[in-house]
Amino acid sequence: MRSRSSVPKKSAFHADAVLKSVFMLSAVFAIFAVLAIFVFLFWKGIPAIAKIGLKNFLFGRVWRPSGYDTYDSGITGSYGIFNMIAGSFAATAGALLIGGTTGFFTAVYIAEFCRGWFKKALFRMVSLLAGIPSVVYGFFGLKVLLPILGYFSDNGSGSGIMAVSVVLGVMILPTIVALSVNGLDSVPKSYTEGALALGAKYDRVVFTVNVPAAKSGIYASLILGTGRAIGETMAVIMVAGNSPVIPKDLFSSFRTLTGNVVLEMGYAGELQLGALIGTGCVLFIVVLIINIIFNIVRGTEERKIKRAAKVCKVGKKKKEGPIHIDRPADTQKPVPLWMKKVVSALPSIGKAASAAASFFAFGALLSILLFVFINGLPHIRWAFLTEDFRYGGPQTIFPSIIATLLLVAVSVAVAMPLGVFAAIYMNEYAGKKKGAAYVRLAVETLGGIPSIVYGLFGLIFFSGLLGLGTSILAGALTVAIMIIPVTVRATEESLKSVPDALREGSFALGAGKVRTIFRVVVPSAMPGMVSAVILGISRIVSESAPLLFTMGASLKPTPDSLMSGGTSLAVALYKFAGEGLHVNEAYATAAILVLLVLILNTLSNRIGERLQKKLKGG
Amino acid sequence: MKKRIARIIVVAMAFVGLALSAGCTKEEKDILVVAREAGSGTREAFDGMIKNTAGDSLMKTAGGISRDALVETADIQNTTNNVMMKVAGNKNAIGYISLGSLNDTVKAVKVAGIAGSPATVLDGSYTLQRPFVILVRKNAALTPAAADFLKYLRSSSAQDIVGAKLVKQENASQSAYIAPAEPISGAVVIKGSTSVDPCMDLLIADYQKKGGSNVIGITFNKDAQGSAAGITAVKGDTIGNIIGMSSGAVKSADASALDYFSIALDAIAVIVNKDNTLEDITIDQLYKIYTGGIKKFSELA
Repeated sequence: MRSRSSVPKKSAFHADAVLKSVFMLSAVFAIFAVLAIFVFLFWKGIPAIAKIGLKNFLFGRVWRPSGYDTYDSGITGSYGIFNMIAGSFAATAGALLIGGTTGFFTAVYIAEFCRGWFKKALFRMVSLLAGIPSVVYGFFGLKVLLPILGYFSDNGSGSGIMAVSVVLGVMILPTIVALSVNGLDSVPKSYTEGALALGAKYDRVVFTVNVPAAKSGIYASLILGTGRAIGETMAVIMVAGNSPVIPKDLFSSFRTLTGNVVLEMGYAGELQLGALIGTGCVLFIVVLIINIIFNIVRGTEERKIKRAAKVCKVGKKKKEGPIHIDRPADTQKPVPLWMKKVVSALPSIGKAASAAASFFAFGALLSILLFVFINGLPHIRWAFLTEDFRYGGPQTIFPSIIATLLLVAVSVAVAMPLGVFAAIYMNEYAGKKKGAAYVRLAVETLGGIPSIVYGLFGLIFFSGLLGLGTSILAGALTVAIMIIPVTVRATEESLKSVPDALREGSFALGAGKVRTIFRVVVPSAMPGMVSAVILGISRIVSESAPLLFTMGASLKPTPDSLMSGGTSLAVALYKFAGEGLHVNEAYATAAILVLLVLILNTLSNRIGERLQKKLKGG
Repeated sequence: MKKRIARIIVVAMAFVGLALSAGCTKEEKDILVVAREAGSGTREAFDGMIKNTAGDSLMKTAGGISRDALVETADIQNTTNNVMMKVAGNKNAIGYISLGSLNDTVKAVKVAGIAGSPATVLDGSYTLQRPFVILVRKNAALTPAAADFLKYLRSSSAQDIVGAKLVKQENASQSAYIAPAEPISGAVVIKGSTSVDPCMDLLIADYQKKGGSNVIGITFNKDAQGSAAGITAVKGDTIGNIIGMSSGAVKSADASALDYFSIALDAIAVIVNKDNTLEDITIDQLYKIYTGGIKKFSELA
């Protein structure tokens, strides 16, 4: 070990200062990215909205764009998105109804009525639902749900709000479950024990004490689920029907805002593209509002808890006086017996509902996995995987595999350093500073922006302004920004879990901040960071909407450079699923995709858990 | 307690049963109208040709006022194959696709008593026909790769490939394609109609075979998002390597910006589910179905 005197002090300080700036810039990059997306969207969108007229745009009931309209000519098409706003609203409400209630009850079951290995296993399985790519959900909805729902619709089609609500509901279920379980698990045991001590049965305690105490976590999960539902694109367009009208019932064709963008982006004329970007602006604003509400709700709950803690402390100083009870028992109106019986039965119904919801969630996961694997695994042939694409020849996904590998490599290379350095800055340097709050808000906003809005931004900025055209590079840069929030969050978690004692020990031995970070903190947090990378890769592999127009949407020969276009596995699945000619290839691709994502997610969880064990034990 | 729960379960099941039976007691279902998206050349062609007795088409009144008369409950699909998949999966569906893409998962009905085939398209008795058009930017300086491929497309060799499923163009070139003397390389971008796409696949394969080793360096970047996408891309071509494919005649508004020729005549086939007993339909009936006037297949008899 080098003795300290041989290390020149000045260069060590410089290195520290330089690297601190690097970390800070990476953190600021998140703010920069959000602002860039905001600026470019509105720069291109506002002129279009201005030309169409804000009222006509937001409240117009006819969407019939003309490919020939430009900013200079007169307008021959109609650009009213009201029907799509209503569609998005209805789809989200339906998703919340189905996914929110099921998710809530599933979370209650997992958190309150399960123990030990069963709890862990069930939670992990429900979380697996989060990893399944949205195109696979859409494919499942198309092949399995629509025929079933077709019985209820007038024309046997099945697509409509009901189909979209079910698919979206199952998609947001893991988000709601994860956050709610988190909230329920963090309710102090003393609340539960106090209620039990007062004589209440456990089932009642769950619903009258634990759930209200976890309110903020549950609200937060619902809001996050709403954000995810509004932003979902691919699964929705496969089961919605996509007629740009307000549907007359739950089984009639309709279109969402996100669907509108992705369906017409490929061939939009000048003003039409501007209108679509304007739609992206609307989505961006909606998501921003949801995020702000989310933060307000979270802040309010935290303030309430702090205030309650303060009152408890102050209460000790108050003079002892007669204990006031608001409604003394003898002045209460007698509660009718039937009501008492209903109220006493509620917790059992609640418990039954929780079990049923978990059963449904597990069943949904099982059906999707069975559907994909039973239909897909038999068709995975060696030739399918390894033969290069030939015009007029059989469909293979070898080009897609190469394209996906290149995509992942570039995205991770760009997003990883930015995310990790930003997390290092947030955790090791910034902490409570005000700037940190802005960075956090920016990172959260980035995480909430719908994937199709990223697609629009990628189209305008990377493909258009930077001239990258339809290329793997453009797609990779777009997706890189998308996974920065995941990377930052996961890395921050792993950095946080490194005990301060390690850092303090390192400082005590005389090491500088940067040396401590790279020699002590990062190695301890490495499993968590690796887990973050793998999570990011899994997300990249599942994305399709942002890649459709930045990287390419048609099956092509193997890409030979970063500048050539390509179709990632998820986009290839979308294409196969749409074409009736290659059903087997579609199933096979779905199976490969789901297998890949499941392996990545499980790996990520395992590594993350190993870190927890090590730090708890060590 | 247990009795109460049992009662609640029974009531719930009754509700579910009612809901299910409500769905099942519906008699004949409405027609599921399947249409293409707004940027599709097939849709343009179809909308323009389906007229009622007064002369109003799906896209324009007899007086020339443009409108969109498609019924609100129509299911919009954005590729040829999506339409086929929807119709194949639904007993009450009706749709329209390129005749060249027709396969045995769906059934094509006769229009006004005439079945669609290269013969009836050529002699004009099958009225639902439109050209497949290849386009490049007007007066564009094409790259060597694009220029050579275009030469192939104009040749009689391409017509031989086309003739397999579509109708050859009578005024096409009579000379076969000759491979270039020197190796050519570069990227050729092909964008446009999903209806022309399958044909283009075969053409590219044949070109690579006939061109041999001197065209191996040419890479094709094909992206089929609809005819309008192809026209937009070609109009914005600055490099000279974009070839567009459109499944409908070039509109006068675009004609001044494009160099184009028709490579094939294609028919639009009206398709229904294989279990549908419908065999024949008139243009007027198609108009009524697509505007929502006729709601059930039984009304056609």
